Amino acid sequence: MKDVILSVQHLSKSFPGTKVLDDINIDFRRGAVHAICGENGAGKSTFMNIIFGVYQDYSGTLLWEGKETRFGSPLEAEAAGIAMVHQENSLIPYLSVMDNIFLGHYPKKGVFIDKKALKEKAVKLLDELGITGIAPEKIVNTLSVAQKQLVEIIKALSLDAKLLMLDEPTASLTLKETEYLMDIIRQLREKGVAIVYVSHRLEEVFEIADEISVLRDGQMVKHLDRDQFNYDEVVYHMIGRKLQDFDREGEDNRDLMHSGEVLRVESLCRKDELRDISFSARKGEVLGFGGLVGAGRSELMEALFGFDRYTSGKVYIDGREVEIRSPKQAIKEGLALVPEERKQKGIIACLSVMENINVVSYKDLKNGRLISRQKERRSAQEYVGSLRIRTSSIMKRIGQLSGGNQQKAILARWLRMKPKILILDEPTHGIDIGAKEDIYKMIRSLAQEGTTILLISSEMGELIRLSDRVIVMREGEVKGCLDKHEMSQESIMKLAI
Amino acid sequence: MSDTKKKSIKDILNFREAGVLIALIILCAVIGIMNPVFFNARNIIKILRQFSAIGIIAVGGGFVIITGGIDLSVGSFMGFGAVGIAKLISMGVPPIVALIMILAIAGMCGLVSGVIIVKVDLNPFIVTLAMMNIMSGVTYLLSNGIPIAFNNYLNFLGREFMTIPVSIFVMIIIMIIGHIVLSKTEYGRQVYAVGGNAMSARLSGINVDKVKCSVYAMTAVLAALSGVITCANLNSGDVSTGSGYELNVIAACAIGGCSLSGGEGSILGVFIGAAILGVIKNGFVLLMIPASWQTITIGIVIILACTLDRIKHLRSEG
Ligand SMILES: Nc1ncnc2c1ncn2[C@@H]1O[C@H](COP(=O)(O)OP(=O)(O)OP(=O)(O)O)[C@@H](O)[C@H]1O
Ligand SMILES: [Mg+2]
Repeated sequence: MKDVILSVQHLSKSFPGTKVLDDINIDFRRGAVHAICGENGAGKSTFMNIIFGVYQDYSGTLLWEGKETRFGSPLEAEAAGIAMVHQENSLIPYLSVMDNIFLGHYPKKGVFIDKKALKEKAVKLLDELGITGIAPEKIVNTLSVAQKQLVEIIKALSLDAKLLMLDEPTASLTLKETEYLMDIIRQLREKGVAIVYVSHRLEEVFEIADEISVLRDGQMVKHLDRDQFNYDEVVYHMIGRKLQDFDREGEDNRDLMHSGEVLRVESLCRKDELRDISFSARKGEVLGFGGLVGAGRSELMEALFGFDRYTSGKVYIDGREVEIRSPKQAIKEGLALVPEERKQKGIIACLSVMENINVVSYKDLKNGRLISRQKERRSAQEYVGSLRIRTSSIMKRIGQLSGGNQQKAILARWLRMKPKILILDEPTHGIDIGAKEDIYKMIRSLAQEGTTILLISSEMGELIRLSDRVIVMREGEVKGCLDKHEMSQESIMKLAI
Repeated sequence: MSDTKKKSIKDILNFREAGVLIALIILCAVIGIMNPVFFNARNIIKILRQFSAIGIIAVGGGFVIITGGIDLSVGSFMGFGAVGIAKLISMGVPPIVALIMILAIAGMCGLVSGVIIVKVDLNPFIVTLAMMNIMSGVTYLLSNGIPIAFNNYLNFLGREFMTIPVSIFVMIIIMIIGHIVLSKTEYGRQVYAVGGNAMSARLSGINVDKVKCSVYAMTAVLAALSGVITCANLNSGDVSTGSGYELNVIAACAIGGCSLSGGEGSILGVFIGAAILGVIKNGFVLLMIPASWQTITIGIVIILACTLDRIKHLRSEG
């Protein structure tokens, strides 16, 4: 057995009104990847935040390198040799990539920042992760979500930590970046770094982990070593039930050949980010969009939704040309967008779950001119129930929900609106495997009812499984369109690279 | 049964403004015990009248702060209201027309602040600071610094109706309207959403620019109205009307639980905040404590109130 770097004993933690962690005992070893699996809201992020010194009001003990420790702040944890990649991006938007990476531990010459060393080190780290296309001087705000996530990872790696905790590091990464990350993790493991890995992408977990602990409702319910790994067992312990098999063909009675065209986009351009994009989608069709990070898929959707203006091109809805200048207008035309960046573009953190769900639908929740308390409660309650959003009350601030549950609430916001065209940008970002199935079912039944769905997903399996056709993009251009029978991981990647 | 009942009592004590409300009650009790005159009906009416000027403006100030903005120009809009209406009437404009004109001009100027804030993307602090200077300059130009007499039927705004000053009615009506708009209409929800996260709000189909512009325009109108009432009460329009009020308004909002980073606050809170300021002023006079202690106390109260709110906020789960 490798030696234990951190031993967690009898750890419990409550937030007012909810017990989040209950008597956790777990050991992390040098040179081992320890994965923690659990549903949305199981307490994974909270657990890591405690180790990282974010919360101090817990009971139980942490033995760090054999000594009892209680980190008073993330700074102390970092000083001891712990690094963490947070689930939600924690970068400073108006600083450059290299400043963000080295903030707090700048290379210095006397009292001054050593600019040259700063840049060299940043370039080296970027190269190691195989990242091209992010200049160290670039301002973080201008990066895409996935790029921000990569910077976040690099920032943690730059600390040369003894214990590295990764909270859903790959949630917005595509295959290629994920593979690079896996390589790095293997190298770090060779060097004797202890790694805590949290991901809802179980294939990754099975690929990389040496041990898996399953957290459910704040309790460690199962621990498995590599030779005991078993997919069904992990899932069973996570969600407390067996997963039903996906039965797509079974109940599908859509006739896409004969359904009318709902959306047509002709030669859409935006500066040099989007070049000459044309496609069309039928009623009830699920049109997937594949491609690598930075291919321009999110930019395309935001342009369609009026969040950014496109410079030229035409958009037709139901055969009628429309010029969409703002999200407000897009919504009037029957469009809905579940954006990729939940924290910046999705949630309104200080408002309640209820208000977050209802924000686009108040028109339907009025009695006369005034909002009906009863209707808005009922509306939120309905979606909290059907999407199984885990919250102690619909009046809870959405910012206090776990990441995956926030995502479900944002989905609820747009499903509630009953749009004609639903754009989903990474809809299952951070959502656990059980809830994913619920969401897939919901997407399918929406398509059945005639909603047109544009789906971006960096998860190949998801994209292939849900889409009727997949459009593959690269560097702001459409590179091809694949039918159901042509779709495969290989065929998509071939067009994407 | 007893369980649900217990819960409802807890709920009552748990509403957001409970903390400041309790503070207000304690403050009243302490002053009242030390000087029972405090609880005289006449004195209470006096307090209400005194803080009605701030209260009227603070409804707008609350909206602005909830959208994540700030308005430093309300004091000079108040001065503009007072001097402007007296000037117009002295030039022979019928009083009611003059009133409408002044409110409209103030609204336009407030709208200009709003438009600059959203279109040029300047910080509201800067824009309203500039507007504050502009409006006080305009006011000075109108009057040359000399008070202008104000004697016409609009003076009723500064008088009493059934022994209660009209300004109190005005404040209460505006508070009630403000409360309903903020908590029960779609526009109100948009105000919160814009302050909570402007980008999410925009993606949720809210016209963020329009919402922001509207709150500055509304606040300017309310500030000018408050100036008119003060003018009617004093029988003259004086340049010094409203000077320093911007900070009192912000203090009232902050004490009442409006978060200066936006997205939080209520009109009930703003009312209680304004009341606390009024009670402190009155109480110090009754207890014959020097005025310098009054400002020191207000400073301490602001910090205490916001600290309490913060703690409650951290503790609360809903
Ligand atoms: N600041 C907070 N105040 C109150 N409750 C909180 C707070 N932070 C988290 N919680 C609650 O703690 C529980 C665990 O949350 P946590 O974020 O640890 O879940 P998670 O396992 O990381 O889930 P996910 O997979 O969705 O990221 C949730 O029910 C959440 O509502
Ligand atoms: Mg989490």
